[in-house]
Amino acid sequence: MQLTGLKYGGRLLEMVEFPVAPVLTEDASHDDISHLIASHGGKCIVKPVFLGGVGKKGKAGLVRIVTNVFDAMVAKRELFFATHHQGNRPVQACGVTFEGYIASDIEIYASISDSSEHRMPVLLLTTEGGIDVEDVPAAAKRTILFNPVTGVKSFHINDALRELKCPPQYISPLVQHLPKLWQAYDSYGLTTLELNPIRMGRAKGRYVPYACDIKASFDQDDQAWKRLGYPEEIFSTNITQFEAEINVLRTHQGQSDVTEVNPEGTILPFIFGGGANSAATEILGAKGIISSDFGGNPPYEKIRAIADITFRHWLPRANVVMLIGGRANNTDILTTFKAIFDSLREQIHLNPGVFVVAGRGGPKVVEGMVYGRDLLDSLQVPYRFFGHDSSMVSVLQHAMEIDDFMQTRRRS
Amino acid sequence: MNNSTSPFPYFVGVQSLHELVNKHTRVCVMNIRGSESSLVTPVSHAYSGGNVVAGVQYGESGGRVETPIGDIPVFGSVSEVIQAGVRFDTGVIYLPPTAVSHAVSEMCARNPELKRIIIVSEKVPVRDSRLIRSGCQNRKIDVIGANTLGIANSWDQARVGGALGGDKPAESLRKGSVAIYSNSGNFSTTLSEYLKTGGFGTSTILSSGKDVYIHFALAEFLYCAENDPRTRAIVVYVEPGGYYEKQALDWIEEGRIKLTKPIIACVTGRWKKNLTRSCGHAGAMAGSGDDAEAKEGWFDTYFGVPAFAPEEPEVSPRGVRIGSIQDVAAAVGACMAFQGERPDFEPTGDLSLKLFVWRNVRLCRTEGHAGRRPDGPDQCSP
Repeated sequence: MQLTGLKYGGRLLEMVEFPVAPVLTEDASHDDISHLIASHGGKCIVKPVFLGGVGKKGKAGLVRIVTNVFDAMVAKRELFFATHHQGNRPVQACGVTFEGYIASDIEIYASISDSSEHRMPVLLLTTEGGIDVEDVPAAAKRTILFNPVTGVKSFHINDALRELKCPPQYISPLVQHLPKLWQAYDSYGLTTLELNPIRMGRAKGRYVPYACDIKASFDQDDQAWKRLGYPEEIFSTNITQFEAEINVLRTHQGQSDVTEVNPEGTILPFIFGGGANSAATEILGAKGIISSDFGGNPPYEKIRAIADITFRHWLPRANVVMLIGGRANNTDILTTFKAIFDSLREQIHLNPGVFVVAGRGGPKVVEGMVYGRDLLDSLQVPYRFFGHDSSMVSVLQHAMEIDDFMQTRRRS
Repeated sequence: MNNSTSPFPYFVGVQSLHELVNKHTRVCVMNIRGSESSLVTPVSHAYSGGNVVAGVQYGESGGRVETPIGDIPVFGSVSEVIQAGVRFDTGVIYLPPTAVSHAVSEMCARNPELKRIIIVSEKVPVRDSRLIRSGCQNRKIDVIGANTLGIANSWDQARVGGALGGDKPAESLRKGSVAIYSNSGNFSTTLSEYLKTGGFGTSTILSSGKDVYIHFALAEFLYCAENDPRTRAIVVYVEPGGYYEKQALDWIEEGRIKLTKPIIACVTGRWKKNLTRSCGHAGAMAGSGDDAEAKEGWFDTYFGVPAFAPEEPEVSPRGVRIGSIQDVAAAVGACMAFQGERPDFEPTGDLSLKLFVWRNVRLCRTEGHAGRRPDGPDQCSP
């Protein structure tokens, strides 16, 4: 769950009274934009709005500085539905923001995250912001470690800024405002908060640090973000229809983690366990339609509901349905197999030609396989079941070979 | 651990893997009557010869949990356990995630003899994990988890936490010389099974969990493995996200941690680098430099040899990386042989494909996708 940009990120900062560059959204009037330009040194910045965690817009040429309303409207037309790439995934904008230009001779970078090296929260600070922080020399950055109980304090910021030789006129306002970032981070379930750049503007004769861009990641296991009152749809681009339906079943016991990997894939895997999820998804690659972790000893009703949704979405295009995992520690194999195969029986009309492959061990595995055998025999569905004494990797590879065979048959 | 001799910049309470759990460990389980604990705890208790001395279930003082080797008393709070004169050094938490930090606080506040806490619960908020870290460091208590399956000691036949070794731990956890550190609970058991096919058993198995915070991480594990005379090699299974492994390997290179035993490492999850939210393990989300490929590189650099190829096995004294867990037994065997050491016992079974049940079909070209004739000759053998 990520967000970028001030349209929504500004709200997070306003909750802790951290100054934010003025922002207008795509529905702003010409008068409003004109006023924004006039009140910010004759410039404003036009940026596309992407939902989710989409960065590096500037490098992609998707940020425009304009000096009049006409140019602002041109930029709006060009950027409103701009396409960009996040990793290897294309993303499309859904609006623009007009942001007040903050004249500043310095750009600050500040981020908070939980460090696996230090095993505590850290604040990373540099006075050479505005670019990727990885490109800033180590000597120009400071990492502040602090106690999560007390939070980052003004003296931490002061010490770091002095070491970084920050111009003295900016130190006091930064020392005043940067500790507020911890309030935002700690109060709303964040796992990353990055402001880049912070520009030093003036208000009432004093320097004020204005956040000019933001990137934030939220902990999906912490409900604190809901206190921000964001509309649900701002995180919705991260989730497909299938994932959304499964997520309704999500509980603290897990058992229903899914990611749509390739809607054009041909193997539908029910994966049990986080390790199996990682390994099996890697091996199946583009053949896998989804990645899943249904481990954690789900009850019949839950895994049945998951299977009902999964088959409804994906069974018609699957050559192979897989049930795969290592030797279960406490997941009841009979329960999970029974739920999945009962669901398959109800929906087999969607794809009577599917092949079933299972590789599993654990409690009641024999009973589970016998149940599956009898049910699939009655449906005349072909299957191959392997126990935990067969390599899980080999079972996956075998399923891929069957998929190849089925695919060839389909084409012919 | 005496802080003056500790190589760590933070508190670590053990020097050897054997200290993590053994036949002297005494356990109190929070939410002992919970749906998962009520299945797992009796098995753990029986396997370990009765190491669970108390359970806590809010509002249910005076009950008992039946096990094959006798009942476990149930109390209404940790205070009640202590007041009853029951002593324990290890707490196991099976509560829903939002209750976990409260239970950790209760254990720390009420039991001055507490040495470690095992958090089995998954989906604990990161915010709570960082507070647990801070509080337990102050109290000098080791934390395993969250989202761990616990720890098992195959030599002492003892396990604490979750269901390592499944419902028949004595079958999976055969005594031997390989320590296992795994981000995956399931693979902790699966790797134990696979190792037996090469004639290797296990010393201590630790399911680290794979949340953002791994409180007992690889550096601590390697340090303790080096000091554990039962252990001759270390199997490590890790996933993307976090710099725990780099830190451990860097510390070995710097001499902060001494390690003379080979590591056999497996990294999976290359596909996860484009995810924007976790699937499976909450902490298996890579940032800019901690994806699966980066981690493979850390290990390959440390080992100084390419990834293990079973047909032409090359290993270094420091070990080797395997591309898949199915090569674990062969790689451990190669590392042991390189050092002139032999397996723990005769190999048991193999990992070849063994059909349990099957049904073949003949696909009829003219009938297309849905055209099958049951019980025809096996034309589906690729």
